[in-house]
Amino acid sequence: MALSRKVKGGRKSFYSDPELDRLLARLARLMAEHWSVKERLLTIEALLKEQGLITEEQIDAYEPDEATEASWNAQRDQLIRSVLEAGRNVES
Amino acid sequence: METSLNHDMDLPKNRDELARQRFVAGLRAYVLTDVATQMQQDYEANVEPNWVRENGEPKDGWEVHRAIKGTDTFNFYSSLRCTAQELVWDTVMDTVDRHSDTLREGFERWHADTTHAQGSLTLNPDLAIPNYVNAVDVHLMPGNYGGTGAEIAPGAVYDQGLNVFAFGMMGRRLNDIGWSMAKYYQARRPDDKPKVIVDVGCSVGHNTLPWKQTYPDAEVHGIDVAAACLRYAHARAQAMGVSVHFKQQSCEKLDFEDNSVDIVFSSMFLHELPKEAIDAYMAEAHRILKPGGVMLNMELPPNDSLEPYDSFYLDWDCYYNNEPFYKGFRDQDYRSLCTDAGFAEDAFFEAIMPRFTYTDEKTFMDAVKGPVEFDENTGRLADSIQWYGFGSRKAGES
Repeated sequence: MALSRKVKGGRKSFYSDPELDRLLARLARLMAEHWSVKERLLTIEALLKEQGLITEEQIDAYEPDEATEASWNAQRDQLIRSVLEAGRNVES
Repeated sequence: METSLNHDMDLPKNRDELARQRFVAGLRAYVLTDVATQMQQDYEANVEPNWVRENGEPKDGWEVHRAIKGTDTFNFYSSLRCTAQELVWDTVMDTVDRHSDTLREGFERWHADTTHAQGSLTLNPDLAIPNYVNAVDVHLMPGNYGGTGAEIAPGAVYDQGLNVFAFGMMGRRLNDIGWSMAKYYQARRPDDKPKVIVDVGCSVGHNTLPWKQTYPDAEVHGIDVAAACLRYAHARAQAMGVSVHFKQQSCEKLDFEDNSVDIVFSSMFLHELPKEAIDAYMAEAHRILKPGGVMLNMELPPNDSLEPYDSFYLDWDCYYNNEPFYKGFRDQDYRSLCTDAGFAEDAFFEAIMPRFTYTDEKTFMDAVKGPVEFDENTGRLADSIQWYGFGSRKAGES
């Protein structure tokens, strides 16, 4: 069973509208997700470049098959959830 | 932050988890340096002059808090710091969730393996967990230090999370406080050969092990109420080949004989306790210490030793990081806490030191033998941090 991410006692909000605190939390989570993608991309590009396996032109021209596209969709949905649920503990 | 916790109870992070955790460590460093500096500059340039015109010089951290609360820089610092704190736990829980079987297997393996170390684990399922421990999730850590089940995950969450939280400031194995305090003790009392050392409120034992490593012939005990942390601490210590005895006890009732212990140690512990529990702990420390034995508590510096702004800066955690007793503790007179427990007034001591594992030995030794001088670096997590400790010595000859 996954560990609960809910904080007993909550966390405080600081702005006149707690929604701003939630938005900042979501923004920070989005930055974390963005950096994880960027780091992975930089790794893959470095490896592929080292081995002489890809060019910029090939990346621009790539089209995913059906299964690959479905997998991308599921991962994108997970990204949306993890980002938008990040303000869950902000008290009103 | 460290990529690895540098022990066998560490969990493998995939690239995405590691990247997220590195991001959060970077975010915390940014908040605690850049944003914190902006907040202080805004305070000095705008907030304080306004307050002084109306009320005179701010007397303490409480007044600074009243003055600064609601300003743009305070709101940004505070909201972002809370968010970074939540992300510390959120990002490491992904790793811990993915490895729950590995964790259990690791515990079983190291619990059974007595070839590397001969430590032990003694749990007491009947121990009532005090309400002050579990009333809120301390440090905004979901699930706190664990419930009453046979779990181990909260220990891993704490260890993994501390690694992100510390952003590389607390040692390769998050044990710099333990090393600094043990080496401080050794430098100040070079002829001592302590036989029994007790670390009270040890959580995952990261600061307990350096005492055993400093004094290999001593019997070292780690005490906590949280079974999940103790299970993890035990497996971690065994994996590192350091023999420590972890026991589930309350600091208010330590299961040791009168006059039986040479050193009672705690680190970053007292500020999580209400005054009554601190008093009970100190009385127990005094009872179990041998004549001439030493109590040493690594802690945040007392409020009366700091400038009002620096007091406010540290007390932020009390108001916003679910550490309800933090300010109440720091408002205490630490000398009185010791004397009320039976220690002699003139036996009280304080210590301020650089981080042992980041400093060359000579600089460290010179520093710990020098005078105790408080400044804005005392207890403030940054490159220039100095650890603070205080304690007392039980009357009589050892």
